Amino acid sequence: MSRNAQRLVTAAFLLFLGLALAATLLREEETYSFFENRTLAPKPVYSAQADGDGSYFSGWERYLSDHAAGRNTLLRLKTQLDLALGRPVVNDVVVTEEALLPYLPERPVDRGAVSRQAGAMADRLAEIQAAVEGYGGYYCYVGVPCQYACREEDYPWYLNNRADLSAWSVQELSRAAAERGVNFLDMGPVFRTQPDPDRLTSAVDNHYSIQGAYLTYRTILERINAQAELEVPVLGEEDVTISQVPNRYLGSRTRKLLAQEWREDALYRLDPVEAVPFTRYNYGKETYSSLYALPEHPWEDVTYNLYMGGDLAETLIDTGREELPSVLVYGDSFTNALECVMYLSFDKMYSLDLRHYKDMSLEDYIAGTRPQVVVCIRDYESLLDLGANGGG
Amino acid sequence: MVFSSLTFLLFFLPALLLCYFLVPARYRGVRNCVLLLFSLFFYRCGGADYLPLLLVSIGINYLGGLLAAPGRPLWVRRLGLWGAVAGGLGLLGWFKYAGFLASNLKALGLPVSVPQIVLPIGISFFTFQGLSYVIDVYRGDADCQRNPLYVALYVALFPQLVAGPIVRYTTVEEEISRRRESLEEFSQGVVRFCFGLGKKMLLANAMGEVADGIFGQPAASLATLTAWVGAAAYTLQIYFDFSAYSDMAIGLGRMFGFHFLENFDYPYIAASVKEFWRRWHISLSTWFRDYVYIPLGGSRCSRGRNLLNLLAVWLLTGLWHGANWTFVLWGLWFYVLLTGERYVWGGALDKLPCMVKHLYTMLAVIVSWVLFRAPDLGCAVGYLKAMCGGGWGLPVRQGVYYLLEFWPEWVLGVLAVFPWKHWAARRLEARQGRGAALVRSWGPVFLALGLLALSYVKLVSGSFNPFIYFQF
Repeated sequence: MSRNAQRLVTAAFLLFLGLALAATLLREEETYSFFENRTLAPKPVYSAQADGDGSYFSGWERYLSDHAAGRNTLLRLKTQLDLALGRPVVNDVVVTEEALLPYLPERPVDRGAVSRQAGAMADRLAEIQAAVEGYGGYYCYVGVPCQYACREEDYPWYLNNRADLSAWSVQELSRAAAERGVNFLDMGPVFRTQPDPDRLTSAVDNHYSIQGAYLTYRTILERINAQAELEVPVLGEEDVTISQVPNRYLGSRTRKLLAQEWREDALYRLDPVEAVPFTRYNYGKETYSSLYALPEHPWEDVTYNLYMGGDLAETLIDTGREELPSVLVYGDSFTNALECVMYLSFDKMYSLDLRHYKDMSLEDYIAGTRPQVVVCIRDYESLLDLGANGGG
Repeated sequence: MVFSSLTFLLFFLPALLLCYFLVPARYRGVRNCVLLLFSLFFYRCGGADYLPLLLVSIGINYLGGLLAAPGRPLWVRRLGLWGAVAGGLGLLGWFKYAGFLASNLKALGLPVSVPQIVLPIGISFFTFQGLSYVIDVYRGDADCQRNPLYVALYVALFPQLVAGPIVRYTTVEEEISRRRESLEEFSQGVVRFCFGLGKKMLLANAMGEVADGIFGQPAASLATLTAWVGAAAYTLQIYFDFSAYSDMAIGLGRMFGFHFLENFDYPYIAASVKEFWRRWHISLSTWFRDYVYIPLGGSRCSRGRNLLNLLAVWLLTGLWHGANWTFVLWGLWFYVLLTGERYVWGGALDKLPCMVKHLYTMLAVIVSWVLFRAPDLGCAVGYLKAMCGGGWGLPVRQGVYYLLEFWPEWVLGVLAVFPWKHWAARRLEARQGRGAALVRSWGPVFLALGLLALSYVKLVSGSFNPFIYFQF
């Protein structure tokens, strides 16, 4: 190394350390990372125990890693680099021509464990159904295919698409539900037999599209009318309009890729041709009467939270049409798009997300509100999950 | 704290450089004190509870050195030597092997309770380093250091404290009290450090993701290709991880005027297992050679005795790496290969084509890393079975995914095990002209700075950053 080279490398190294340190110290404190959808690590709190076992300083490392200077820029740079290198999976997103899909690590399917889980799930559903039927209500557990289940064929051959697990889970739950008399509706075959199944699901997000939600709504209501002594009005395609929102759709996968890779996709809203006035209550409080949480400006990106404003613990949509039955819809975020359609056919629509709602148990809530129809919406990924919206 | 961390790069290192170089070079003692204090702080960052253990170890070696020094009655010297050996190995034995021993006794049906002991970081390294000092003093190979701070600095010097290389006292004896920091040394240290950081962040961690992903699954579920991909990934990971740490340690040492010996010399180009061990973890193999193998009689004895000496060395080498039967088996595996090469097939091996010899060596090494990586003997056997096609096997696709996903790292990793640097340097030296001189002078600089920038990107964007050799 020449003398000049020695000077340069020393100066550059010291400058790098100094600048990175100064920029990190002067950085504005952030607590949440939008693109990662997570809370950033807080400053560690000193305690003698944490100091003793080393967790205090490892906490500082986590904090610094989350708050380092230029972190978002560097994350974008890394994402761009990985995309340019042609890695099939970037930031846990499978990048294909058609869609951005979730990376599903390879796991052998333990068929016995799945069967046992399906049995346990069916047992729990039977209890909930009995509680609903106890006062003359109607219960239905609905399984909807999530993005990876709708787009199994979009995965490259060398990546897991969970086709085996999805098929086995649905088959076993169908069998266990039938044995116990549980009303289980699998939307998978309904989606697959549609002329253009890709429009029913998002190319960039885990959820279905409003078209998928509308199809689910119609299928559920047709089943209710066929099985229960209820006459619920079903809105046909001529009764609704589906229109694209002007904002760019930032799906959860696009977000994971820090918006460095896009696929053609948009969010749509569904409105009745004949308006149905309603009053909305969130957590029991009357609130701004909108189902669609549109950003203030058309140039702002919109996420799946457009529907119902995202996951909320408890919502009530009251249309004041007492001649119609009432419905309780509970489940994970797949309920949100469905609810934007569902309320149109009911007097009152209660919505619960038991991941957030902690005031009382599901059975107590049902006993308190006594809706004529109770519908649970789960996607294939959480179909057999007993936690929270699985009824606990 | 590890070198490839933001706390080290953004806080510890700048603070140390500032404090150290603010002290004029003529105050060597003060500079050494700064270095010692920072080294102790570096160690306590991994858990203040273990700092007293390090200090006790330093104390044992200091006293042992004082007593073992020539000029004292023989019994005092022996007391110093064996006291230090017993003290050092006693601490190592308790913290590292007591749980293992107890669980084995319990498995034999004895009424023993298994103590839950957390392994202090770097205990195997600083124990061996301290012992080498006392033994060298006893043998008269090194002068006794009467300044306890300097013994402490030797044992606790942060670049090599937690993951080696195991620096012999004779290597740094002079430099502790008389060394010269210079721009040339510092810049060479920076370049070496950046290369090590890049190796760790860009190659070792990526290969670690592959290895963890595959080894984390039940061996019986692995397809043959996937099992081989996992074993190859771990083979690259352990080399880049450990040699990267040594590079960074050597580079940091250079920044402060110390010259540690090389710890790796492109081990994966070896054409025999014997050659592999001349190139792999050199500081450990020479330690065992000088302090165990040769004192036992080495090879200047009967064949039977030599076989026993080798067995002792390889059992201990295996156990040094961890208190688990897999490490014992790993040591025995190398014992069989090395004694086989010495007494059975060494002659035939020499006559084989070079490529075959390399393949034989790499096969032996890859199998050894499977034993090394597996959590227990059952998993090791299952994994080796999967490599032979005995698993019931998920589709091959998983192995293909890991190859495609990490293709840049596979390409770079395979290339980086070869000594291109030396070949390129020789070529450039042979060439005349300004272009070659420029590349020779500036090439490493820009490469090092590029690696530093990329490593920083990786550091900030990834949380996958464990060092393998911390567990020893």
